Amino acid sequence: MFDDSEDGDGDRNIVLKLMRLWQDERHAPDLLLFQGDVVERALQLLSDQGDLVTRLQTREDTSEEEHFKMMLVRTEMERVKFVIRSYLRTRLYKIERYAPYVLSTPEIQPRLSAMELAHAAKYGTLIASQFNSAVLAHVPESLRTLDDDDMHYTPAIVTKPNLDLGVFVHARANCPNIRMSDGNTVEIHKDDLQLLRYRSVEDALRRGLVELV
Amino acid sequence: MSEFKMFGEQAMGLIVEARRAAAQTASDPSTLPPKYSEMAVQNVCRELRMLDEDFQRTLAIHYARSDDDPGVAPPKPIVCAVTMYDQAMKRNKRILLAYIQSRLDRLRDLYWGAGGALAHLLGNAALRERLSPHEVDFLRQYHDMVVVARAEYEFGDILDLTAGIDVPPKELHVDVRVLKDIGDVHTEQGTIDFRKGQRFQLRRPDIEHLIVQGYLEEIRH
Repeated sequence: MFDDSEDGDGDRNIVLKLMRLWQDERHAPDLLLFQGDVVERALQLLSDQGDLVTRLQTREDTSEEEHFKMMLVRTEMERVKFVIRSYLRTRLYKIERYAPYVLSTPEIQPRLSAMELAHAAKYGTLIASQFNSAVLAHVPESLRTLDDDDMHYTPAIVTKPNLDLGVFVHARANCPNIRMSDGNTVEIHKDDLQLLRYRSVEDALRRGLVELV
Repeated sequence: MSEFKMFGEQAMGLIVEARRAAAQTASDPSTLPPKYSEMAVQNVCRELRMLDEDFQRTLAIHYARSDDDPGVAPPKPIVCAVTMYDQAMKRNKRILLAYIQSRLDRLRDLYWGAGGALAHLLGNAALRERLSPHEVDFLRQYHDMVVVARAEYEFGDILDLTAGIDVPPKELHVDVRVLKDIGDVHTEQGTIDFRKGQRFQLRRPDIEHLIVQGYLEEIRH
């Protein structure tokens, strides 16, 4: 990964943290807490590393071997960028998909960055204006609502994340209190691999006791 | 109107169309969405207005009869008729929204697939003629939103949010063949004048967008 001889474990940890954030976000049906500081630090590291590589590459006394190493470093940098991009895009995808839900659920909003929340608001407005101009403006007024609840055989219009989705969970520590959907509590041990409902592990995930794989 | 279809029958055609398009996209991701079914959408909207009239008329009949005692429960036939109209309307409305949504989702995928190159996407005549004016508008406004998001994460030109996320980069360089004349492009190796048929080995981040937009083709060994 990163050259960990100088700043040592710190840099390496950021990348590992980023990888876990990315995997968790990719596997979780719900939006997780945005970790802006990790993303920002990773970008800062990439920026510094980029400067360093450029400097070394233009120096005459850089050896062949060092040039080869730098090629590896730069490839690795591209791979880290890939992870950041995929992380951010996965979040944008969920934010757009659940925009009306995010906007009508204040409890969820602290999990988003200011930019993400603004994005959700803009996307919600954009979709609503599409529905309005293509369809709703041409139908009876009583049918123009976009927040119809789940009633009388018609499911609710606002899509929510499916918290009952099954997820593969790897325990990073012992988790004594995993509440199952039937109300029972089970314990999962460190390094166990389990298939559970997302709802059951939501809390443990938030506390960093488990990771999604 | 003997051939006039009612109670969601027309709307069903839109659902079938959306499902077929999704299946085609799944088997071949380069499939363009079908042409926007303006007529069908309008017909369903008209059906909705007619159903609403029937709904109101049925209610009016009941209210006219129960003038003396408004508290009296409506007789069963009225309840049944009103419920049926109500359900048919809701169903039609939801189908219309689902149809619109399925197309917007597909457009969004195409947009990201093209690396956020709006001009390139809208310049595709085959795609353009399949879109409604609303949908072209949607792409424009969506692009504006993404430009804001992209600027937020750019971090001094480090990260391009719209670059590919399908395959993690394995190598820094990529062998490419030029499919269409492009002209001068700035890369790390200096400015290159791309002409059709030429081959290059280049740094992926420099030219990734040109692959996505179909100017260059990656040569896999």
